[in-house]
Amino acid sequence: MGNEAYINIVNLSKSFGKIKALDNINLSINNGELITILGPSGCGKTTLLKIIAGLEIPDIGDIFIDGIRINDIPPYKRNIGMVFQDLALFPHLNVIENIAFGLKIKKIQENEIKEKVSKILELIKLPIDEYGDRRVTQLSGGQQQRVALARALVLEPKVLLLDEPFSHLDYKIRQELMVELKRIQRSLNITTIYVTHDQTEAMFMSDRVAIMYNGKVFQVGKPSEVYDNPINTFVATFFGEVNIIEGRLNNGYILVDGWRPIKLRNTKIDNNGSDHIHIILRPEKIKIGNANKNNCIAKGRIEDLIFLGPFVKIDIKINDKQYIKALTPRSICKDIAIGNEVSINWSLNDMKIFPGE
Amino acid sequence: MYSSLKILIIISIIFLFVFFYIPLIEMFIYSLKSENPIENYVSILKNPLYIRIIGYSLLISFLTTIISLIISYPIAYYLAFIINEKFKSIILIAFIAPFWVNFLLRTYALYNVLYMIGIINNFIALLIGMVYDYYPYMLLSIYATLSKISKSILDASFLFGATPFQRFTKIILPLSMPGIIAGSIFVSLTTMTEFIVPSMLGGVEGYTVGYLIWDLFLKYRNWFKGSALSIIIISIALIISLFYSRKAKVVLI
Amino acid sequence: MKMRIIWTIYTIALLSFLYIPIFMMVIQSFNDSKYLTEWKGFTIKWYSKLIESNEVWASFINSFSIALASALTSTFLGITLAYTYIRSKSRAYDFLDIAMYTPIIIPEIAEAVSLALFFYLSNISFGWYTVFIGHTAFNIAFAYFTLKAQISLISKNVEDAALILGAKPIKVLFSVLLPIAMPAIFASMIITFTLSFDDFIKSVFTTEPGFPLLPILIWTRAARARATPDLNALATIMITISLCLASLYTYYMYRRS
Repeated sequence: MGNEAYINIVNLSKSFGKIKALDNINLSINNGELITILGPSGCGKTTLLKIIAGLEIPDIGDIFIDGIRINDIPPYKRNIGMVFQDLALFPHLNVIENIAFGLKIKKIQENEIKEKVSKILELIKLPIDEYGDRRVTQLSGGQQQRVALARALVLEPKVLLLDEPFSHLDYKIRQELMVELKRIQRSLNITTIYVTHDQTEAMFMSDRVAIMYNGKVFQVGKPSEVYDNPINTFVATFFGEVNIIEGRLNNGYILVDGWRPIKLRNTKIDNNGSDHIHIILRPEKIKIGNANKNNCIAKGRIEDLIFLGPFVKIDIKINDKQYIKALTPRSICKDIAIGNEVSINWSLNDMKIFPGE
Repeated sequence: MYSSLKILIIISIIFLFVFFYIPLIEMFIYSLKSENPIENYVSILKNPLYIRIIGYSLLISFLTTIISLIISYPIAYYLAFIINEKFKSIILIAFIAPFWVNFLLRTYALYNVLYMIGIINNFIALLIGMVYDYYPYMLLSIYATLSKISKSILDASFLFGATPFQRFTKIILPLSMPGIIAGSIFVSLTTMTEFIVPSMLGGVEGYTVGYLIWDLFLKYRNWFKGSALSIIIISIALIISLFYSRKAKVVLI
Repeated sequence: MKMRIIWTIYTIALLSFLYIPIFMMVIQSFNDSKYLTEWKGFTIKWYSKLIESNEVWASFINSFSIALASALTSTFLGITLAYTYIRSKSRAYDFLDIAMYTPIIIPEIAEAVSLALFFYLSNISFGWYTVFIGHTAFNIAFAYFTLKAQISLISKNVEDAALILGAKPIKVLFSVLLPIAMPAIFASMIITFTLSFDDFIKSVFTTEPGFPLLPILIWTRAARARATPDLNALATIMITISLCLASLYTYYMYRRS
């Protein structure tokens, strides 16, 4: 119970009427790490955040921070910082007053408040002389977000919670702020929980990522681990682009329409009696070759080429029911055109096989 | 702190219930007080004089609503679409400001002017007074709806080749219906029982159902009948507003 | 272009129809003659006559004190109801919301007589308290709707943010919620004050001869053909106050922060 992990969430469940928002969540978060909770809208991630902050009370389960059970501690005593999706800045206060709000409540001295506010404004790159007494409603979206962050951080909380903080911002500003946030988080070494539905953000920000769906956490791990070894089809599809191909298992061979039969190396698939399987294949693992090659896994026809900057996405039609997406560097596919017949190949280790549903 | 909030809520609800709903319930019970519970209602509904007065009040209400609508729609239209942006707030405020002046004073002021002109103590004066006091409700209601019509819809209609007349009949008019209906309902409901204006400006012709209730209570001291008549008009008001909110699925406020 | 001119003329015509009677009454209050048709010279004697009248003063004080008390009470109760309704997650309070529409839909005369009946049956003597109650039970609904509109614009996250920053619920109320809702609170007080101060029908049925109120005074003079010229003076004063309140209300309701 709470040995090395800084935050421990144990057997957490919460229902709203008939809807089970959180279903037996168990999660450990290490000191100083930035963990992202990634999941589609409605999966329960915001509820989880609110329970950690103290704004909601769980039905069952405990939360430990630094070894202490915080269930019964009210939100204004938990020393947690939070940035909301809609910012929730105080419209009747200016920038300085917004940030100083928590400090004033702690009855900190005026000059110390001034110092802390200046420092944090410097950290978020909004100089106090220029922005200090502006109304928060006069700031741009990105600037408001920085103020919201500063307001939370100035109190030096033990934990920082962020609820999709950048979802409503422009792409470029979002990129900028993500870099900023990561920099600040690393320099302060503050344990951070970041909630989002955007997998690019998750891949970029996280030390570890937790995939959540329907109130359950499916997999936790470093982004590269979750990406390379997804635990089921949902995680594979939610985190990164993926091909899902249906097939059958027969006598140790993988059989897919349009492919040559593939011998299974290790029969570790528990199918509950069915021979139906799903094959997960990442687009960048597919090698495209000449149509004449004979030891390839499959052959098909190029239906579409999509330009993606340094890469090209290729839509290949294997048969009427099967299309495979490949992702290749542009340098490799100079001679490829729509309508070409090609062979496709990949390493057998790059395939992930799951029981079919 | 949330427990003190709960106490306050209970106090507010009790206050509303005790001083608003209980009186109405008591009045309902009172209206049934006689040997035969519905005797009061029957005697009202069978009395041709009473029926005439009720009908007269409804007629006044109807005419006021129609005239207010005809007068207000052009103004609302003007304010929403034609007026120079600079003047919009000023003119709007100018139309709303008299609202805040005491109702009796407004009517008295009108009385003086009508007296001078010579149109007084008759039906026309009554109608003028009713429209004078109630048309701003209609105006505001229609304006509120018109101002919400997105400019892009109007621009799109030009792209599709609509003439200004078609733009009005096919887009603006249908879209302003909620405002027209809301305004009409509001004006009808409030003018139905209005008696101050009719009695001040209409003289003998200004006797409406509101004044009848007044007399039943204060002059004839027949509180049972007065209660019954009040319940009748309350029921009419509730039926009209329920019907409206079912149909339009929009609330008055 | 021609259309615009027609519209403008029509609007100005209607505005004149609206304001001329009022202007004439204001001007007449300074007219030395009792008759509207002749102008005998500028005077303020009607105003001095007004100020000397005990009846007017008594009515004014009664109306004013009740209006003030009613404004404060109905706004206070209204904001608790509005806040509860907006923040509640359960459907229980939908019922309350519907109940708040009734005061506005019910014909005023019906409500007034029900109040008279209620106080009579409860053996409560008519006077300050009965008038106050009659006004406030009605005004709560207006306060409720005014405040409901404003509070629904304040996201719950703002309150939650304050909590997380260390503010106890009471502090959240006074440092965050009330300041943000202030314009609506003022607007609500102004509108409920005016509703109470100008109220006639409910007042008639909840007061007694020994407790005069201003609108009733106006009625007995204006409608009973016992109009005296100082009535115009009274009217002018009241109109001025009303228009000041109107501009304050507009300021609070519509200012963009």
